[in-house]
Amino acid sequence: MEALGAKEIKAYHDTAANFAKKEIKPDALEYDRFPFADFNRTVVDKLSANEFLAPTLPEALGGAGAGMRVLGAMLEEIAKEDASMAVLILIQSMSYHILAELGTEDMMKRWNILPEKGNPDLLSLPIYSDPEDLPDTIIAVKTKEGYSLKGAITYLPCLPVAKAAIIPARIEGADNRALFIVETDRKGMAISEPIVSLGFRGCPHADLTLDQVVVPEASLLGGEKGEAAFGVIAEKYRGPVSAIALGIIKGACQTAKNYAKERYQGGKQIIEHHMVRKMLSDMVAWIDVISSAAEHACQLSDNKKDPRSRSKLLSIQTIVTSAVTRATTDGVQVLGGYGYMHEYGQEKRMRDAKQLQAVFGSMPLKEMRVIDRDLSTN
Amino acid sequence: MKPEFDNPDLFSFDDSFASLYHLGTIKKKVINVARKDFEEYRVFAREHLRPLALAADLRAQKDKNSLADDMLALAVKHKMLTRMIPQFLGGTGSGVMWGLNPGIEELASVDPCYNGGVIAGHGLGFVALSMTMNMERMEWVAEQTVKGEQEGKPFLIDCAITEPMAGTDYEEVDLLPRARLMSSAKRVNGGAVLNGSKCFISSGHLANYHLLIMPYDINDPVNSNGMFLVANDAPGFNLGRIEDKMGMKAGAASELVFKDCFVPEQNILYSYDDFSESYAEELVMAVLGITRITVGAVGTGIARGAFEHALSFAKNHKWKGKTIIHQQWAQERLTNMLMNVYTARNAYLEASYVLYTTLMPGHMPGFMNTDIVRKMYNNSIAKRLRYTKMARKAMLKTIKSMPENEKQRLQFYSSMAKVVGTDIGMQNCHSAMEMMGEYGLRHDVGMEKLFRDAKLCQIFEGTNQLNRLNMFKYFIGRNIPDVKVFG
Repeated sequence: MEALGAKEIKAYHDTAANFAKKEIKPDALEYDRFPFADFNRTVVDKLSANEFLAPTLPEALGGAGAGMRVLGAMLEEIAKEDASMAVLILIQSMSYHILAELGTEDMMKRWNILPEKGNPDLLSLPIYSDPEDLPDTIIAVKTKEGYSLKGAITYLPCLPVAKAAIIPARIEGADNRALFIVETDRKGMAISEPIVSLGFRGCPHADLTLDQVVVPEASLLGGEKGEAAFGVIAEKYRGPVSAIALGIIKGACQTAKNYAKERYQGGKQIIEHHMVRKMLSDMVAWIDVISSAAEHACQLSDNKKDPRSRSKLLSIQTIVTSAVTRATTDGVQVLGGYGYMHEYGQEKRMRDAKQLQAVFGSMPLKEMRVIDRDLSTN
Repeated sequence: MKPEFDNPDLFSFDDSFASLYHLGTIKKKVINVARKDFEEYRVFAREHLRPLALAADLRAQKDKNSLADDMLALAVKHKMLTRMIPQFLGGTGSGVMWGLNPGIEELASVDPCYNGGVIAGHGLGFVALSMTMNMERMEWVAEQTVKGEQEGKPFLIDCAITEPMAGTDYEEVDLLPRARLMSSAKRVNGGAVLNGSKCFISSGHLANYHLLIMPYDINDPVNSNGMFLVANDAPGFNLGRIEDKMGMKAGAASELVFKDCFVPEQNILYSYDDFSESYAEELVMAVLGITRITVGAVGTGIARGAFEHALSFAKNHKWKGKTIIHQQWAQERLTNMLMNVYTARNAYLEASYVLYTTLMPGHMPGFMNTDIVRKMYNNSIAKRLRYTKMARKAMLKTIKSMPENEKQRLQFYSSMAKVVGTDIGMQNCHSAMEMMGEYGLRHDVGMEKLFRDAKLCQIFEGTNQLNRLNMFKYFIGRNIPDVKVFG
């Protein structure tokens, strides 16, 4: 991966920002009502047409071959307008990345994220699971045709609108989980009604039940090394998760600053009230710190030379996403009663930030593991 | 220069140990009454309210204009509204301190929206009404509430303070002079005419009557305040929009619009010029002093609800093959959350003791609190007497004549109960959500609803920032000459 200069990275920022402002911002709040509003398929098609949907897809497969710094830049700008779309892109990038690395070429031809088809195939994978401890809730039994899958897995993002899902399953007799890619319309696949969620509402979620779902051999991704491979790939995407957090806090801060300069209470702009000023200063300071941290995390993913890479990727994600949950809570507070109202767009950020905190495992588990990774480095 | 210690006016015995004052004054039977109330609120919350709460939230997500008629019908069926009305007025309310606030905590632990969104207006409105000492209207509202429940038809009032450009400014007497108000009243023959609008009013669309505060002179609101009771079908009054909120969704946050809305003399609850001196400031501070404590109970309930979600999750989920409740990280987190609940409860309980050693019963006319009163009360002579201006003035004077240090104590403790309770409510929700990961994000589990509901409590009844300044003014600033608060 070539080292990109600041100018090139800025170009990606600008392109993504322009797209986000023009195509995503106008309807983001409306689509945030899903499932009581539709899924924004139009924007997804446009993302695909602009090669924004899976920028990390290798050039050999017709993709942009972008690294995590590029993905991070784009996700930050998209998340400023709508974190739902940012996380959808993250999921598609990661899913297609897994396919590209673990799947066969024939199998790759079945799904297409690229614009020629006009109608990109969305994939789903368990983004909230701890990559080192995937759910052990599906059994795969070897059959003549391939495998028969039985079990269930909850809360898969993009599942209601996906062509296929990448899911973990334990092959009978094996110790670890394997990874399978399963079309959502295979016999025996039961997808629940879309789940009403706290955040990322523009990205539909559902539960999945598998009842003797028969899949061919080719559906097995990465053979016995599936779970480990998933873990390795997921690590790369921790940086982009921080980039989404950065976009959310930037959006929240901008809205808070604008409001604080317009709203008068006590006879003066509320930005003149020190308690409001402190909250805004906090947000700005966090943005400055997170900008460096997210950029660093994305660089770590692109360049494996740092021996503390694994440790840093986890610690940065943990700290950054937690900070943004607190910052967005303050972001609502600055706007007072208006912060609580949907149309101001601020409460959405608090919900999206909290949802983001659960990506790649719950917070306490991440907390426990940071020291493990640090110790195992030295 | 040496540091100053041992400030004589901070941490006095009286400021610190209000609960001890009560040891001698509480009758033993109060415990039985409190326990009975607690158990009845608990049954209502768990058996009747809980089944409705999630569905009501979902319904409002689908259509923000849907109203919580089912919750209100449930309240009426179980005679919950009359629990906010004191017994001497025909209700079943046993006391704010031992009956209402723990009961509110109980309700909030199951569904804070029921408190904060559905019945809040009635409670807040009734307290505001009570403080005007307009006994005739107070008794009428109490009577309507009781009658409504008897007939199975809810009678609800709301309490409208906030305007589009004045939220915080309306919640603090010191800020009101600088508020950008748009609504005002004008005296006319037979009453007053109101113009303007109120926004974010809890349960506006469910209320039969709207209690509001509006100045007669928009440029001098503190010294020209009036309080009015407006019928839902009053000419010139209209309900406006319902807000689309983050949480407390089943409760409508309503816009009230007044266009030459006529209010008959009888429904002018209080005017600044009713008496030779103004009681507006004391009135507002008394209302907030009482109701902020209850908001602290709501926050405590939310903190409890979050804890209960986290506990259930820990008992029923595993990590790496081991049930989470056995793991030390979870035990720490749960214990911190439980400590938080008890801290929040201590804050509102102590504030309740302060209330009872300051405003009530000491400065509420003593007759309101004895059993004899109820018998005397319905005597028609007694009625005519207490509806007089003279009686009103006497009652208002008792509030105004509260010793300064008692007013300060009440303001500090009630703001503290509010801030501690609601900040802790939000903290526990953050913590529970962190523990529950993906499971907590789903609507059907119920934790994320609590998270969304919790946030509003840090904002209404005066933001927690404003309440901090209130605390500073009354307990720290009071000893510093010329200190500028709200400067």
